[in-house]
Amino acid sequence: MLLSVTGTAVEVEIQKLLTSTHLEEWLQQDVFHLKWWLLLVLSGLAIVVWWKLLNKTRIPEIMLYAVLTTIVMMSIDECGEELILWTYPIYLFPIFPVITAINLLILPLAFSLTYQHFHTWQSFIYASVVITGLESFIFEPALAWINLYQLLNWNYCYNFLIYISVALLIRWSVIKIFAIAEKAQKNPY
Amino acid sequence: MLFSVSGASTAVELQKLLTSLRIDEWLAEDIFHFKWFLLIGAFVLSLFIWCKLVDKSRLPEIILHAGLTIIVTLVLDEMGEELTLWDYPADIIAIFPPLSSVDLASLPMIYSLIYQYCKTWKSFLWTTLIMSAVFCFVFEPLLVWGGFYQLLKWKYYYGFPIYIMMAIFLRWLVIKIYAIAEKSQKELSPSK
Repeated sequence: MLLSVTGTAVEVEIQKLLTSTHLEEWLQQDVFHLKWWLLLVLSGLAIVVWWKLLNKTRIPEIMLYAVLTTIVMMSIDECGEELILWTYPIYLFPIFPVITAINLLILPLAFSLTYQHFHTWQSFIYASVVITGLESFIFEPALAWINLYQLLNWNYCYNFLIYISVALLIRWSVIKIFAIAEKAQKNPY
Repeated sequence: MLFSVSGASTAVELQKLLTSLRIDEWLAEDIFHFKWFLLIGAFVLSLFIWCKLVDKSRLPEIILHAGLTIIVTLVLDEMGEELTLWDYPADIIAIFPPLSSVDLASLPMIYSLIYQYCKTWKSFLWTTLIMSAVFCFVFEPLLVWGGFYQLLKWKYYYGFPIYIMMAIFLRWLVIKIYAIAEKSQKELSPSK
């Protein structure tokens, strides 16, 4: 019992230290610097473009896709950061930095638009491979090159495999959800 | 530049320490212990109840609501944990503790069911009020007593307005999303 109390207390102290390091670094080196503005503009631009391209008549369905992707990617991203697989040297926001990471933002937006445009499994898979390829082998290395993203114990191929699996899994889930609803509407008990 | 590199590695080193500490503790005190099974039971039970009670014909809408609730819950939970406002001493998995917290097992399920059952703002607000009170003043003290949750720089009643605002915001958001869709469908086919 004593061990458990002290163990938790140490953990909380280290968390406190880590958060204050994040905050201090952010205040000194990140916020309002050129790269920070770049991140902000890129994020804003991505959202605006997504909103323009979004088929508003199907917005609940596309949002469902984007929301599910966000949950999965957010969890993977945070776990990876905690396991020191990758890190983000510049934070848009220092508390729970992963949620403001640019590659986390791009994925749900890009995949949800892919979902909107491609109605068959075959075309969706081709499109996802292209988009995931662009994300993992061009966009992310570019981010790493300007020091906005850093792989520690990881490589881009793993990202590629994860992203493509998530895209396919979520498409399957959304289709399944709509199929269950349709079936239930046809046979109301 | 040098400072930036060493600065970045300080955070990484601290994160490494924190994660290894969490994993050690988890292996020694959490996994396969009674509380750990209880937490898994809570997740399974809430998922089971949710599946039983959810209106399958409105499944996409309810899941959209539940999904948005999950995002908001995860974000607030993780921020509070990083700011050491509260802590989850028992975890199903050692990393990203909010992902396996009781909050995540209960809030999305309860919020989305309230959303499903209460079709007017009035009934919704009353139900939310009662639910938030039960959550802050009954459920959370119980969790603290059971050792699943720990308040560090926080009071039970701080959460009360947050639970209510969250519920109002999420209901407004889902209604808004469906309203936008309906509006653009009408614009596309004005003959109807």
